[in-house]
Amino acid sequence: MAEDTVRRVDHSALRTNQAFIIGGLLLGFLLDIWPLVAFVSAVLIAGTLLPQAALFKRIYQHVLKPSGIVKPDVIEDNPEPHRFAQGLGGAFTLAATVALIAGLSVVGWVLAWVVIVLAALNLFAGFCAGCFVYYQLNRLGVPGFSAAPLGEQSHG
Amino acid sequence: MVERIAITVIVAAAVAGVVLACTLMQKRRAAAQAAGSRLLDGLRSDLPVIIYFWSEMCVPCKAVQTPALDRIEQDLAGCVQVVRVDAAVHTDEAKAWGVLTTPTTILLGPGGQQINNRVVRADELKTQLATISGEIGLCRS
Repeated sequence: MAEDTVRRVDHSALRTNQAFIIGGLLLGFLLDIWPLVAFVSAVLIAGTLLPQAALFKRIYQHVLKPSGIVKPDVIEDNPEPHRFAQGLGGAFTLAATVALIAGLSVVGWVLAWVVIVLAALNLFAGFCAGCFVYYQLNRLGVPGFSAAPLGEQSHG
Repeated sequence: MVERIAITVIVAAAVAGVVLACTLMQKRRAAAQAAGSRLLDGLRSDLPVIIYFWSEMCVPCKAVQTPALDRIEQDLAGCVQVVRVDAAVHTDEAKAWGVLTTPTTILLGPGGQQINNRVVRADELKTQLATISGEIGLCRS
């Protein structure tokens, strides 16, 4: 008999994460403070490598959700593509930080803006670019990208 | 600082435009899908269906396709269901079914489907109906 392997993801946690990413990077850009970009990068990379260490999601879990400021939105979904998207965001912001430290401010802020725009598209239009890339790699059979889109998963 | 605020406002406006366009497209697609599925409401699932998209300005529709479907309905009475849709009036339904030109006939049956973006005479329609009826077969009146 097949086990019930339905996986669920709280999309409110994801949206909170995106809002903090956008806010942190925008503030860094407006005030020209590269350490903010570095901070966001560190949070994203840490959260990708160790989900329990995702600071923005922990703020959601321990502050925003219990207080009722943000209501949970748990739906059937794969967590892997979102984690991959977070990792991509971390990589881009890390590259942005390196560029800003090296004095390449245009390159650095363009990279930061790429992350801001993609996070905004995810937050406001529901389009996750990183998830899209993940699923394309899954379709190509690339090792490590094993989670298929929900509608295409085979049930046995 | 002023330049950075200007850049932020411009990019924010561009993203807002994209989000708005995506939202409108999603709403239109959902409305079109709902309109498309309405064409099959009330039809029997055990009989093949011909959805016939025509328009007032379509001369081949009036001259050839409509008479062909009239003959199909007469010869195969009780064995096939024909739905006629004015594509110029019911644009949502036409869009939902991917109709780009008239006449278009879409045949649906248990053995498959057939899409014709051209005039199809009665005899050929009967052959196609037999094919899409699958193992059930097309009954004869």
